[in-house]
Amino acid sequence: MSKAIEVDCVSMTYSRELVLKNISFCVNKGTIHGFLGPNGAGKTTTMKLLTKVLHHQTGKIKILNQDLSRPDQFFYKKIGFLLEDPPLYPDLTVTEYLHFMAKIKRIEKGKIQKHISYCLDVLDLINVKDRLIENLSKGYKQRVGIAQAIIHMPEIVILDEPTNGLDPQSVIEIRNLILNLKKEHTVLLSSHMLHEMSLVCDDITIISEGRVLESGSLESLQEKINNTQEVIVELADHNPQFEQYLSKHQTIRHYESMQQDEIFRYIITPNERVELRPQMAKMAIELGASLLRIDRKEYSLEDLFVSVTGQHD
Amino acid sequence: MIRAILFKELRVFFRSPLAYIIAGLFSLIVGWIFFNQLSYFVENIQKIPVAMRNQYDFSNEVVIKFFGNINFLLLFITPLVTMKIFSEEFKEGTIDIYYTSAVSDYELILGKFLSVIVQGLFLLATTFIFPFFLSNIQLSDVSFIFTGYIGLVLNFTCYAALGCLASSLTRHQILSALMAFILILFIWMMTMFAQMTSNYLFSEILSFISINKHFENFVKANIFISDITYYMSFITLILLLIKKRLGMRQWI
Repeated sequence: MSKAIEVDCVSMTYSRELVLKNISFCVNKGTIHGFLGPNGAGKTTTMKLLTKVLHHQTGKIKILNQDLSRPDQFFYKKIGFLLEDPPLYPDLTVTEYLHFMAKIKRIEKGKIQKHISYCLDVLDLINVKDRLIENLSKGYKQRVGIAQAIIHMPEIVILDEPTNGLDPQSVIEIRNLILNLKKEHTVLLSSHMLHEMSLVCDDITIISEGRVLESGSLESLQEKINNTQEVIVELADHNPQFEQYLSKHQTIRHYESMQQDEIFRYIITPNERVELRPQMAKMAIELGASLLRIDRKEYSLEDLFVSVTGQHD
Repeated sequence: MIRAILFKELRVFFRSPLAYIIAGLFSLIVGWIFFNQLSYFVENIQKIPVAMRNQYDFSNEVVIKFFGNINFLLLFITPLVTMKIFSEEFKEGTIDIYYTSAVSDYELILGKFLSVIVQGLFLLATTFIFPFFLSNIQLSDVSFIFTGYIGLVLNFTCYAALGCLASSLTRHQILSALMAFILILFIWMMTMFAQMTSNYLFSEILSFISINKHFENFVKANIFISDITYYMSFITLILLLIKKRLGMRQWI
């Protein structure tokens, strides 16, 4: 798959502090790439480097195979950028604002109206097009922010925490809009909301304290952490014999037990990659334990995030 | 591109109540000063014997002082006009719009600077009514009213450039206004510094740097190439400093 963005060993010092430490990752064309990290991890700085708001000091950045240190005059047409706080002028109406944005993105005069109509339509802004931006709700302001990022039909759209601070309904709407963008654009999306990322992204890069900790497709990352073969066993009553079996069996490295609402739960970790479930089911029945559930433990993106940032700490 | 930025700025300015508050306040104070000067002149001239009244010149006593007072007011009004021009863009993060678009720093600065000049012309236009009142009086020479206004516009342009520079240094509007006031006051006080020093050469240099020295010539209808060169060099230098500042891409 061809690359839309390639970041190679980029470091950056800001106010005498090393905020990006040799980061490298790629964004494939036609995908939604999630840029995940806690607050202050360096997400916004990286995005500002990609859009040339800031200049990187070391390393190499390529946007659509073009070196960012030698951009051509059409560079700005290829990228659309939405900051965490949408850059809006509250005293302008939505149409006036988009018209201004179209002009400074050097869209040909004859095509400006067509581009504005496209944005109003895609982002469902037609009903508020003549309202002053200051009178719009936060959700609508966010949409106007996305509209300015796509008004010049860039190949790459970079969105910095687009769902931050929105109510649940707006979050769902913005999420659907982002999924819609995938048809026409490559999207790089930053967030610290892991659940959001898992719903919209094809690929994920995890960044913490200016370092890239993991980067790859969502499936491959989830596969990586689900590789441990941990098993959950739930029993309806306490069975000391079963616990004795768990503590003595050679294939089991360790187990954790907990009690919740009359349910006894065991999380069992094997010594090596073996399928424990048939063996556990058989033993529970043989030892007379009332088995309620037996399953492999599934890890979420949250677990992955905690796991990789924890390792780094 | 410059035109797009200019029109956007003007649209935002004229939609804001601040524009009309500043214009109203400015017009009110100028009107009050003009009325007082006129009353003072009429009062004084009546005390002078008729034969000597020709020596008490209306132009010197009213019109030139009128321009001087407007110039003084601009010292306070200009920082209010320019305080938002860059500071607000930094604070709201809208400055990144220009950095991620095909807008050069020169286009951005010129678009914004021209908008401030138009705002200044709007403010000065509210004072045109006072010379209009004087059209009934048979003034021997009206050219200095015309050159006086050119001087005011040029002075305002220099103050505006300093105001824009101050605004480009900080994201806080009040701080920006305060810095602009101090910078404008500084070039105002150059004449005073020039008088304080005993070194002839140094005194001449300070005197040349002082904006009011050049403004005086305009108000007296004496236009010299050196004055125009001074204004043009001053504005160019300040705009280049703003360009340098924006190139740093870091805001306080």
